[in-house]
Amino acid sequence: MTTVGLMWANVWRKKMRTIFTVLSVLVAFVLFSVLSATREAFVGGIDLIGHERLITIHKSGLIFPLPIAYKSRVERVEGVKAVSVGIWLQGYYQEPRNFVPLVAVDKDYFPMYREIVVPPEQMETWLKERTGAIVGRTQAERRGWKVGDTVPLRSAIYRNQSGSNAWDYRIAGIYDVTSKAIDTESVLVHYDYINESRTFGRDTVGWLIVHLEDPDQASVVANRIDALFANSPTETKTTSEKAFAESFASQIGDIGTIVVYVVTAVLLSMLIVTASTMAQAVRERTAELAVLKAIGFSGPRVMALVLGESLLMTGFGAALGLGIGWVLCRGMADKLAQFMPAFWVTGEALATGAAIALAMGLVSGLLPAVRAWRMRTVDALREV
Amino acid sequence: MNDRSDAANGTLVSVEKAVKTYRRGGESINVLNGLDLTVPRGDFLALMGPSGSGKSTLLNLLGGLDRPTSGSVNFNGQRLETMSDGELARWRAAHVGFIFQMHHLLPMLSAEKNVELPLLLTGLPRAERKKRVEAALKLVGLADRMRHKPGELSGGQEQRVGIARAIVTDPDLLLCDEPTGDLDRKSGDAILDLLRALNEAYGKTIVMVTHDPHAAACAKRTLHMQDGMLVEEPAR
Repeated sequence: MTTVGLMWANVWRKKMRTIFTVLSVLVAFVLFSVLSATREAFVGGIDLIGHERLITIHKSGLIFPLPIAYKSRVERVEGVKAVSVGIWLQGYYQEPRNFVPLVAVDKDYFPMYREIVVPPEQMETWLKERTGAIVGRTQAERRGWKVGDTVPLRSAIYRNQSGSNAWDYRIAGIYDVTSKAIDTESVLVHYDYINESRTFGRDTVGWLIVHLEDPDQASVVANRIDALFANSPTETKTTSEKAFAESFASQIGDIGTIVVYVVTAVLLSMLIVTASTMAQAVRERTAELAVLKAIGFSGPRVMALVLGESLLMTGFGAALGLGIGWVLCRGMADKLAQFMPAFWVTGEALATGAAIALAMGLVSGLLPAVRAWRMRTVDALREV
Repeated sequence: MNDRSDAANGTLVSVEKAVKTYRRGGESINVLNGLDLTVPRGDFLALMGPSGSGKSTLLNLLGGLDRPTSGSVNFNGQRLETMSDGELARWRAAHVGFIFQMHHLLPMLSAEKNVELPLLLTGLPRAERKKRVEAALKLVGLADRMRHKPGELSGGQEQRVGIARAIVTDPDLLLCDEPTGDLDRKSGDAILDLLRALNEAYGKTIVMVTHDPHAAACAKRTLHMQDGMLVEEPAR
């Protein structure tokens, strides 16, 4: 037998109580894993976004369009290397539940995004074909689309002149990425193709993408752009691409904060459960702990035994919970990929979970452990 | 008698002018009143007396579980009352075996693992620990019950496991608090025979607190306690 063996045996002395406590911890950490994956899906790649690009939108928010004429005016601003445009089309394939991130961009878009890799001949085809589409590899593989296929994609926002919300696109290329900040789910189509045939919003864009000559001048250039349109009917708000992505994610709620609140509430509940279990376990064993002290176990050693039990119990539950959560999220990732392409439990989340389990084990065992340490052996033996 | 002479003249443990006072509420209660005691190496001493006479308190002082309010406790040249809690814990692990009335075995551990507990403090390798556990359990006659848990043993057998746990580190001193108090006569006699054998054949020094004259009769000598003082019984 080892000291850890003794701790482990103590953990299982009341099997049902331990099983229920471990199950509670397990469920809490499964929830932690799933919520961490959800958070990652919404905000995970934001930190990786480069600093060399700015996004200009309407000052009142993303749903208000900007005139396309702004593009050429911004191109002339000092410190701007290039400008591209984008429109969010809220796309889907065949049925609304088959969501597709469909974005219309112009020819200046791809040179700005070196993280997006398209074979040169496919890019050449796209530039030549007004109906061409560049599709992310994950999206293409899921739908079984190949270069040369023609696919009708619908927009939940716009209709074309024929009264339909479907546009036919010929797949000109498949893109891969070199950065986790960009997903491989999007379908990128020509702005002109959409703009010319849509029934409203013509000659407007959702946002401008500004490529900077010097990333260190980002705030200066952003101020110049916004100053250019100050006091006009359509004022602008220019931010870093990272801030834009955060703002975009926050439109569906501050997922990160909500996740943190939920996880904190769940873990605090678990802390109370495990602390209560440990307190009861130590109270029941006053005599045994006194005997251990009598036969030579020092106060700190008895304290370590109790803390070790607490750590083993929470650690066991947390390890199972994180493991099950990880497997669960991997299983769910494919099904959720079209809505949440980055739905996975990161190594950082697992490390955070392990640290929380460690803290939970220490905190829940601390009071009973100190009580065991300070317990006077003669008094405890007399009480028996 | 000073500490060094204790060790030199064959005294294993001695208590000098020990006073132990407890405070309960605003009141001071003197449990030991300047008690003197000498226990030679190889002695088997029974302590008898009415409840509240200070027997268990004296046993706690001898075992380093408590310190006297004044006076001293000397063990083989060491002053126990001057040791820190950590030093006393190490000293107990090395020199004292406790045998309790209720034996207090850990219910989820087998007999062999219960007996192994004190050896976890020694740093001995696993094989050596196993050897010592087997020897201790064999000595108490439970070699065939090693893997049984306390719930699967009789009261007498549980007490034997408790004795094996007390002797597995080969301590100099065994302190027994009513070791037969929770047993029927037959089981109690077997335990007393075992204690006598440990004293006579293995030279263990034993101090036993008991209410039972039959148990006390197994000791080499009996001391009576009253009001925190010792009264020696006439030699038998």
